[in-house]
Amino acid sequence: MHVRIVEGCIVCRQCECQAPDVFEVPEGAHSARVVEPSPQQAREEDVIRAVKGCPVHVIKLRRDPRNVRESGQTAPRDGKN
Amino acid sequence: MQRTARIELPVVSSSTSSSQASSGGGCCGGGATSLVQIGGESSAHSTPSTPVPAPRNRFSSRDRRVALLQPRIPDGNYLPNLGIMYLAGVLIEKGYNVRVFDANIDDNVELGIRRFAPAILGITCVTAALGSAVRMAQRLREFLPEMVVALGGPHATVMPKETLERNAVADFCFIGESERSFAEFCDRLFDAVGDLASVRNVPGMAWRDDAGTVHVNRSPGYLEDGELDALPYPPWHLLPMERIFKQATHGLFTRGRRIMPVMTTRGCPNYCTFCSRVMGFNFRKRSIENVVGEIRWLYRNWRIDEIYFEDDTFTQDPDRAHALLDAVIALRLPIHVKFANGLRADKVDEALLAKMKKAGVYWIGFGIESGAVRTQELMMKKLDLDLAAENVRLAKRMGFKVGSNCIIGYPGETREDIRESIDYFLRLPLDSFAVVPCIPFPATTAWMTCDREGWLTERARDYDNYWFEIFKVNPLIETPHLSAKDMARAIRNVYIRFYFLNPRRSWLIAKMLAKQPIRRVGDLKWMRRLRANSAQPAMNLRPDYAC
Repeated sequence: MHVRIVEGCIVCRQCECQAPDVFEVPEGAHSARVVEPSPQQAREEDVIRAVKGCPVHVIKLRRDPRNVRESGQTAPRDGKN
Repeated sequence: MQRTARIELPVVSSSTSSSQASSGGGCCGGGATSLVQIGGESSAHSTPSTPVPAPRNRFSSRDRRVALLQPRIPDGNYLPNLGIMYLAGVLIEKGYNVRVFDANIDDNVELGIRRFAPAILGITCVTAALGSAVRMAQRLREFLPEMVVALGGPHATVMPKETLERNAVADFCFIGESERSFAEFCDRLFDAVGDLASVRNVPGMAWRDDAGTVHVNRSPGYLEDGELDALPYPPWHLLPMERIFKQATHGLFTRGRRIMPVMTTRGCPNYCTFCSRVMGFNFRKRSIENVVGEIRWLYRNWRIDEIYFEDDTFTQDPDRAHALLDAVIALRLPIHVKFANGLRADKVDEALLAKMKKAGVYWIGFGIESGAVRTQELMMKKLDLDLAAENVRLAKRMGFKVGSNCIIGYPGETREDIRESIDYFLRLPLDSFAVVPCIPFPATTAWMTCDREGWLTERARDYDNYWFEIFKVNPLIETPHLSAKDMARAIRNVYIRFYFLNPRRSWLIAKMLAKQPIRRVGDLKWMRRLRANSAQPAMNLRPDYAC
């Protein structure tokens, strides 16, 4: 599972409320940030609630981490993975 | 002759910041040595007569004294603070000696706290009361240098780091619901005989290390349904109840003389971008039995005649709302009921309103906030304005008094939006209508937008200004779409059109004001006290109120 926040956050703090171990809104910040980009499977329910609850849909969740490179970009789908 | 002695103590100087204007000059401790007297009034000019023993460590006493304080809030409404009352109840059950002080009904709280001499002072504060709270804590520190000061409440919750960085008198900040964390903090601090390092890992708390760096421990989360039921009822006997009854008010319309607030749920799942949402998004409920038990207990012990439900969103769970109203009706107590914090205008229907009427509700406040579609989108309130208007008319037909409120000048709102909004409200058969300039409370989306765009006015630098002024509008926001002057003019005009050009409403308001002579005198006294207690000139009051 891999989580990231794209541009457009309105700092409503909903994600921080649902999954405080994964999301954080630093004081005075203009965007929430992900403190744990690869949360444990046990947190999946909270993370999904946060994703669904985001009013501006800026939280992106990728369940399968195998296609994610260290840079955060997805590997090309060449059918071999 | 009273013995006095002088003890020189180092003062913890406030961290200097370019925006010290926020403290109004009251927070700067300077670097001077503080002179503290024991046994007499504080004075810088007394001379020592005999050596004075070291101050007793209050944490080593078996009498675990904790004081909780609600500072003066510059607002026309007053209700005793439920937050600190719940904390008081939890601490009392744990065997603490607790006192609660409320500066809104007691002019002598400082003397009272000095006499009580607590080891820990917990202060709850909204943004507008932060300055008053800090100034009072500084004055108290001169007499009680060992006392640990902890801030909590809405402002500390959203700005714990800044609050500790800017206010040296505060030792800790508590975040969100603190029934668990504050109780653990008190236990640990007393067990460690006041060693502040022993509480540094209490969850949900901000603290300062030896180098002065502020750290924020993550919150332990919110209390779940069953945990809310397990809380003791607020120990109202700690407050002067008869004085509270004389002053309790939330809104213009009231029927009872002995009013108490009750909160049956916590949290709100809506996204309104002007709201601090201190209790989070998750909607948590007390059981019906627990709530009616509290109402019965309030009636038996204090003969209350009106309940103010202060829930953020009472009708979020309609089935529960029905069940609770049925239970209140079954109580058959001679009590009026008011949803003082408002209801969501698109979450009521005829059946629910009928039940509310049977339960003793006489006034419905609908939190519509704006009658402009575009502003509703900006606020993310997403209210169905047509349904809201229908429900206002329905409530009037059913015999309720109906009120609403409107925010003018939300960031991004244009003159056309304001016109649309005001026209919407003026078409509704409302009995009361509160119009306020947008207050961008810290850490809300509205604040973030204004901060990013540079739309906060100079007045917004001072937290003392973060309250709703009705008679003199001084906005905290100025946008390219709307100047501060436009905003102030729009608010004045709508009050004139709504109240003074409408004979029926003028008469209704005059009747309400005439029915409550004590409160009117109380308001004038409050205004005098506000001016006297403020560290800055009373810029917000017209000369008419000078005394």
